[in-house]
Amino acid sequence: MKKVSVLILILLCVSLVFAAGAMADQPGMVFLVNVATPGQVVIGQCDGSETISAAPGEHPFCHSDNAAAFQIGSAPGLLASIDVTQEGNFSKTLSDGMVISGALETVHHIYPEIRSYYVYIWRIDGGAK
Amino acid sequence: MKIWIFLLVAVLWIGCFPGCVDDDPSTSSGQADNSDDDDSSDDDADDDADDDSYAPLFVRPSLPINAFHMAASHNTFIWRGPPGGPTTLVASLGLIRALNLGQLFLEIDVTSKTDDGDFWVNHSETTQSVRLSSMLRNIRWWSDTHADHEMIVVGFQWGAGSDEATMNEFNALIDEFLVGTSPVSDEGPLFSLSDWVQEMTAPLDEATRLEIAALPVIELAQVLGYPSIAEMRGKVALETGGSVFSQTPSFFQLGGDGHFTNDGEEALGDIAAHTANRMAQRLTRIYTSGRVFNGNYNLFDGFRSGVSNCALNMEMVGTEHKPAYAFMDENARGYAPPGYVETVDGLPKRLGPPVFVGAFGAESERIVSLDLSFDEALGMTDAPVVIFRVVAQGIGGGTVDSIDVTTPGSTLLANWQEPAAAKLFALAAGESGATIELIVNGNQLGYEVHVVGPTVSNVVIVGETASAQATLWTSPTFRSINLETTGACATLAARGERLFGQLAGQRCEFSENPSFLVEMKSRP
Repeated sequence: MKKVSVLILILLCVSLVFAAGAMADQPGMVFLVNVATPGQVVIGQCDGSETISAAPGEHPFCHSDNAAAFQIGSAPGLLASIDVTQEGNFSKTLSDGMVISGALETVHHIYPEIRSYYVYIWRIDGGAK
Repeated sequence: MKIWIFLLVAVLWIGCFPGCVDDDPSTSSGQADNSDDDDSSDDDADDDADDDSYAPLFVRPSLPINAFHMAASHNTFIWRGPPGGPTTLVASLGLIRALNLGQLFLEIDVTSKTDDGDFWVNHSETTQSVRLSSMLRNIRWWSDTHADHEMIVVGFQWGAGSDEATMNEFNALIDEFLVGTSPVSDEGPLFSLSDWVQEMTAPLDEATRLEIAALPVIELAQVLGYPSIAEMRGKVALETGGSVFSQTPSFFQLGGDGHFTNDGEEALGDIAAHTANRMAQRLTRIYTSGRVFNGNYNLFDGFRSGVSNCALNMEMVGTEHKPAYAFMDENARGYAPPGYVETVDGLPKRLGPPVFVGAFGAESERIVSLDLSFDEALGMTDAPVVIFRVVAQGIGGGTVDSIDVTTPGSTLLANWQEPAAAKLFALAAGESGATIELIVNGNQLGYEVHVVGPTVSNVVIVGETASAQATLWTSPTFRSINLETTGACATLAARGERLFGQLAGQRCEFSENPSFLVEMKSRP
């Protein structure tokens, strides 16, 4: 029984190391959390990656090497840059007059230098709905 | 070897996807299985339960919060994954998800200070970390964007020290995010215990006011009682331990003052301890410790044990699970009426203070008198004042003209018109009784009245009274005034559907939910 427990523990540790390694390969994940009420679809874009789309209640993410260059908006042509590493409230006005407000959160992983970033969309005002 | 790899994968899989477990035990046609009950156009053709009807006023928002169970969560800062390790996701999203699921109580583990006046939130330093300021900021956003939300209580497992300098930093964060202005509102939602006590006791003489204000929280609850569900709407309250309390006064105090703290499931079986706590009119919170993977409380064991706040690990539940559906009354989401409560011999089966409920007929304007008795042994002995609350409303409509105490020397402390006519009164210390006079305008179905107070021991309707034409749905732990049960009961099933049936021992048939209402009618 003791051997079995040790074996399970070893396997657990190995799986955790693999999980940690996988996460270490991804220096910055940016979650776009759309909790605005009333809500509408918000899009985001990590540096060079494809666009992610967050319908009300959704929280998609993308991987970023430069979280300071995240972009947020209402459509591919209507994006504004936002440095998601700056924790606190934010308010971004898009070129169509839409104002997206919310909060930025930085999550510190247990591995040094690894961060995740959460962009909470709490309010959407104006613009073409 | 293969079998162990398989077992390991299975264990990890179960741990990573706890929300997928189907815990609906229903197999028989006579039991609630509401994922597919209502596929017939004839509602009663499915299971003989009228599950798209609504029990009126399932939760009474004019009554004190400690008369009901409250939806409570544990480790709420974890929004996904096991409670420790690199795969655990820590973020404000955990708090937001819990609030969106109707949870009233959020629990945050604060483990250490940052070097810039903030605090780290994580699980025993084995998970990701987030600043406490960020979590408070998002709680404020949720509060600001959900007008008149039900009370939110933020509790802490505090491990960052409680010296004066640390508490000053903590209080500065509370002031910044829960008191001061935000991008949306000028005034913060923080519930101030001292402000509430001051407001409720303002009509009393100065000496009595000061005496009440100086009471420790455990005695304050036995004199003034708790605020109502309605009074707490839109508010954010703090729950703190004794050392933090000395710096940050809060109604919801943990520690050695009557609450259970971080007890495991075995504590649910200590009925004597729970009964003593309830008799002291305290809130009881229990949350799990040392659980891993998809272990979680059986919330219903907590209900039966008389725990007001039985906390769940919310990253492990979904709306289809019983931990959430017990609190899905749309009248006051997040609260559940006590149905069956275990107790020890000789002590009443109630959750908080004694609550009395009665009904009477009044097709046209009439005056109804109630005689109240008080027993100081129920509350604080030698209390500086006797305080009680009277709530009255027409059944299905009908207004109340006035609620007055005719006993000399009474003081009106507070007066509400919504959601029902309600008044809070005070009498001189040592009074053993009082007479209430209700003037109602008339209502075909009749009127209902609730009387509640830390030391109210009996209520009777004086003289000849007509019977109410309608029945009342009320908690079986409330004490009835001239009412008798019809044998019918109502409870909530998954996704909040109402089920109506007959009382079956300690539960309402068709459901294992121990939170239920019984139907009462006026005695002839």
